[in-house]
Amino acid sequence: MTFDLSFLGTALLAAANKIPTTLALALIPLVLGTVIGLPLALVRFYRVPVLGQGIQGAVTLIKGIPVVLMLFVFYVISGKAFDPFMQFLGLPFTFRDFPKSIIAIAALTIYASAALSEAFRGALAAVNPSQFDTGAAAGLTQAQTLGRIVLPQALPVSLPMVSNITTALIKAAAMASLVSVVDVMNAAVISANGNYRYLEAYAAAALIYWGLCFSLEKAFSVGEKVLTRRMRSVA
Amino acid sequence: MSHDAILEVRGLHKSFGKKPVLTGIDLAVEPGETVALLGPSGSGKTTLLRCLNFLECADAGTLRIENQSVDLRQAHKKEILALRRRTAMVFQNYDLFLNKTVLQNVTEGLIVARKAPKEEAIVTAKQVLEQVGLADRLDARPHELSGGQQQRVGIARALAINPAVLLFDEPTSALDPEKVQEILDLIRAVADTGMTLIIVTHEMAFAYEVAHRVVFMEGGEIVEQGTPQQVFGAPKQERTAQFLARFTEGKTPEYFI
Repeated sequence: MTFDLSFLGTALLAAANKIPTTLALALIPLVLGTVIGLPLALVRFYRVPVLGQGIQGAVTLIKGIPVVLMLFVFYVISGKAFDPFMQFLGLPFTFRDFPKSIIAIAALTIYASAALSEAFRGALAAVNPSQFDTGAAAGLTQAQTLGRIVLPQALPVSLPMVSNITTALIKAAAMASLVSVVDVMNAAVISANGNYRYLEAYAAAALIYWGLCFSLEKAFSVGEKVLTRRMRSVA
Repeated sequence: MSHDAILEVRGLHKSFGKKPVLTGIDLAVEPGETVALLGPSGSGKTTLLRCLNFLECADAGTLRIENQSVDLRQAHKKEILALRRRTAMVFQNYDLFLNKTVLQNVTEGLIVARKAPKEEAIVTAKQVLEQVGLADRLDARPHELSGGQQQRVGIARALAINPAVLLFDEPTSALDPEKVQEILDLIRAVADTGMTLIIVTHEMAFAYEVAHRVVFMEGGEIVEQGTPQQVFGAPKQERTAQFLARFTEGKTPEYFI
């Protein structure tokens, strides 16, 4: 067996073309997951009765299944429901026209929301509770204390976890290829379909994922340093 | 009690779960008065202080600060906020806003809570920081300051608001002995400006020298109160005498006349 370096280059190029797709598949769920996960974390942090327990249960359920399972469930449900729904709306679309990346983004968003809500809850718990008192004593409302004092201190604490979740999302986004989305992974595989040089294609995909994950991790750690330098908590 | 009081509490009750912590506190504080709350740990002094600015919500009683009074049993969020903005608190562990600079720590309550114009707030903040001797550390972050400096910022932050009543919760308990004196001198200077202060402290000599009135608490009640000369020199209650004994023992009798 030989390793065709020149084909590695070809596969690398084909896969690199789809970096924007992989980034979109990972970063859209990251953003949506933050928008959804932060309020969930706050509800749990403030121990809102009923709602807090409900969210905790849901998070446990979501964390207890593989992301790929969620992806398939979403695929099956949307595959069954899309055509009747379009007929109901009187629109001339079928499931074939439905962008499958939306299914992947939805599944990853659910995973990201659960994971990020845990990260934010942990970060909120890491802020000294007396910061709430000191905000209140200064005459700030609860929302002002949260927004201006507590969250700015919780954010840097959450960054290492968010960084982990981001790289996990980048890697999980490769599962979108299972529902025929052409991302970095799928593009690499497709490039080898003609000559069966899959090893080179996988190596190319690996190089790109390494590059993506390393740069994102680096970016997060720089961000973390900048933010914590300004407010190292006092012992 | 007097109608001239700037702060008046009546029948304040507070329990943590089933454990009663304050059982019927009545207290009135005159404008410009410095009141020292003394008593053993667990006597409820800090809880009382925290009830006055609603960091703890009392179960029953009434509270009046200046012309605003509220039934503590059914205080609304808005009333709580309004009353709270008439007070300021200096904390035992300084509790500065860790994500803000020294200057921002002082301006935060002015700009955000009291809607003061930014420029005006900065002028005020610089003034009070000058007053506490930190005019050269405006841009420092709390973690860059010593404990004593942090507490100076804490005091400046409270002064900036020009509160009706300034609450001190064991302001020197976390400091080393050298810094304790420094902060006590600063508080004494604040008291001399005629601001109304309520101070929870274990610094007996300080309470004796600076307070106009000493309130001795135990078991969630006010056991005894009076001028420092009365309470330290001739305590009426056995328990007060017992608690103050360690402090009064070494002193010569005429010290208390």
